[in-house]
Amino acid sequence: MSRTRELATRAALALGAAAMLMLLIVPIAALLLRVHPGTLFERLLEPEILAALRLSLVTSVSATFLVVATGLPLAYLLARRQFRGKRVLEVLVDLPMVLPPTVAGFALLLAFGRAGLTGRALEAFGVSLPFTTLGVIVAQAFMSAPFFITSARAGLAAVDPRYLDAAATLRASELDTFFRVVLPLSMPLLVAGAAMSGARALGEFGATITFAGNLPGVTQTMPLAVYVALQSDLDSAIVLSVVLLAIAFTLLFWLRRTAGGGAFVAARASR
Amino acid sequence: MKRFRAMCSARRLRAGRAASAASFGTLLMLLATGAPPPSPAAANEPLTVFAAASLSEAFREVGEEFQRREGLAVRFNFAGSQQLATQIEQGANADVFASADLRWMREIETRGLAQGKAQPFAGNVLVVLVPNFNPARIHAPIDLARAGVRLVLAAENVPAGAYSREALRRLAGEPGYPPDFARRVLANVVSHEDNVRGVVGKVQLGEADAGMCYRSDVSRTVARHVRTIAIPGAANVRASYPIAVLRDARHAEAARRFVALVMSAEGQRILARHGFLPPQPGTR
Amino acid sequence: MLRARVVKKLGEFALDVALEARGASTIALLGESGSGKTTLLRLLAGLLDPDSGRIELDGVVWHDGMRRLDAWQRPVGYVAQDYALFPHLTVEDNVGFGLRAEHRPASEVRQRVAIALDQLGIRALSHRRPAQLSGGQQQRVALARALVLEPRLLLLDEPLSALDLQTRRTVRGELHRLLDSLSCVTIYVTHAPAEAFAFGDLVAVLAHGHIAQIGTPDAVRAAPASDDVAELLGLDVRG
Repeated sequence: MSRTRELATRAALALGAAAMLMLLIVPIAALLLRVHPGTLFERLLEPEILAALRLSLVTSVSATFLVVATGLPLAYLLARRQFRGKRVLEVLVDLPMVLPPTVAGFALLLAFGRAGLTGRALEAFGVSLPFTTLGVIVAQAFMSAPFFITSARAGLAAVDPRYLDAAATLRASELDTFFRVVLPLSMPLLVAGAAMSGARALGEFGATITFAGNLPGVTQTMPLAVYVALQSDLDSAIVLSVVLLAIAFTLLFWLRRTAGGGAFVAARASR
Repeated sequence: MKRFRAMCSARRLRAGRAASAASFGTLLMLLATGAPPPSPAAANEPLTVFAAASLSEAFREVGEEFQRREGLAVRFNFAGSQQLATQIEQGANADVFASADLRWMREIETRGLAQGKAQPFAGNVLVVLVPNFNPARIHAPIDLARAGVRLVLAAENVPAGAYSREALRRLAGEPGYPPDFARRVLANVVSHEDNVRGVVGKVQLGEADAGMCYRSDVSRTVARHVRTIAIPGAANVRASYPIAVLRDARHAEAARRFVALVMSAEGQRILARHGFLPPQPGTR
Repeated sequence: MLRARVVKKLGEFALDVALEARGASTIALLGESGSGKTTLLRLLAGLLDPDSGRIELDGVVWHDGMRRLDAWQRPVGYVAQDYALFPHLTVEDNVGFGLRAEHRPASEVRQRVAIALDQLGIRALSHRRPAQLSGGQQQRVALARALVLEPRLLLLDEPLSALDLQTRRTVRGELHRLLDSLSCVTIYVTHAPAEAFAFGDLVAVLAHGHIAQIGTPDAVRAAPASDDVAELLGLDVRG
């Protein structure tokens, strides 16, 4: 009977959705239920927690800038050019997303560590990455880059070539066209990509602790601080976790709201 | 289903919604009541041993010997003792806990999570470790206080970290060492590792100029990449490793036999082969 | 004076066109859809490169085997079939786009944009976005945008085809007057014979990738070069 099948389908749908919802909600609820709002703000002001918070914000913002600055040209090439080895480049760009973070951190160490491949060269320029805040930024940038590049590439590729043609006939060089047509039209996806990248950088742990180490105020970002706290001081762990959660939630919520702001992208010139 | 005789689409919609709600509600109820309590462990389930990271190789060998004798496999969780103690407190399933210091064993005992008394089963001393190529040219512990040395230590709450800091304090009192020695060395720390093997790893890779770890950590493989610098006996710390069966052990009897094996002559031979010292008598 | 000879392989046939036109004249390019009309425009604009050929305007070589000017370097104005107005810019900014790309001072941009908007009668729409405009209004913005740059060659791709019948009737007269007032070479592409006759000083019939006939509207109407041409012109085929 089709009615039975229909009901069965609905039941299956509801069960599946409920299961996933539980998986997502219960851990977050469990975390929030352990917090004492009073002590939350007290603990928040403790120097080590503040240091971790400040470091996290500084490094993830810096990493995002780095990713956008270096990722945008790459995304542009991938979006609008054909060339040999393009597929290999695409895989390379996606790699940090599937690499286990600790493996990535280890690879970074072997590449940029003092005893690594480029160690001597870096030292000649006075640059030292392991155990430094710069190293944290590099680790975060490495792990979060694919999130930006994928989104940016989609945004850049989605710009209708008719607009590029029009710009060319209006005395705009490729550079002009990029800044005055391509960038504005792909902005929503660029911003979304940057936000996802930033969120990933904020939560980055494995590569950071392996490559940059763990030193309060220098390399101990919030995820590392949570990890350390989990080993002996659960109250601090809860505070840090809730703060991280709040930041992530705010970021993603804002992202959802403004993602709809690409109205002019959706509208086409023709009716 | 016969009950859902839908004559018009409106009723069908309501029926569909009822089905959804019923499924949702069932799932919620299942989760709210929680999973049923675990049944007693099956006889063939492996023994779970939580042991300090420095015991990795030695205890694996003990585990193999245990399996040969008892026919029961042993499953290990090697990590910093502080991490293991916290996991046990949070309800992790373990039969035996072997800590690298008394502090974390006391944590467990104070919360009544241990069965019977904890026994010391091994000892250890610290060494200073530098990479083969000794980038910072460190030849004696006093060199650790030199400005700019990239020193990696275990974090304070890790047994190796606590021991290291204690050793540094003791060295400060030795002839030839400045009174602010410990402070100057600690200012050189570039990373707090969460277990002693992390320290060894960073020195082995050549990323750290120096680290402090247990003498037993310098295995033959490790020794290929590093150089060891001894710490004068008077200032060195004698680490004491206690072992205990846990209250919630699912294999209490087997756990006791494991501890017995560790304490036996064979167990002590294995530990000695891996660089451990015998337990100091009278330590608790 | 436009002198162009271009050859371009287009799938099944090859476009092989030679064209000459004096300043202040309009050539109506008549052909069926798929005949390569738009491609020809793109070749002239520099959006596409010919397989071989030479394009020269007023003595300046735009393309020959060795040298070539990029599209943005050619003094060309292009109005695409669907106008391609920038959706993220207001009418005013759309029209001023090219002037800004030329790095003109802001005052000059403002002035010239105002004149162009007045000329096309769309001053009141300055602050609207393309999405808020009707078809006829969009067309005028597209024209203003191209003309404000004082191009030497104006390329119009089926300017009336995107408009509904009513608007077409209204706009036709104005467009005619506008094109008459220009001093540049205009190429007006269409598939409608009536438009070709109305707007062109010369009518060029494009068939099978070649210009089958070129002449004044009267001359072409009176003596079509072949049955194909006659059919394209909507005239009775003889015999």
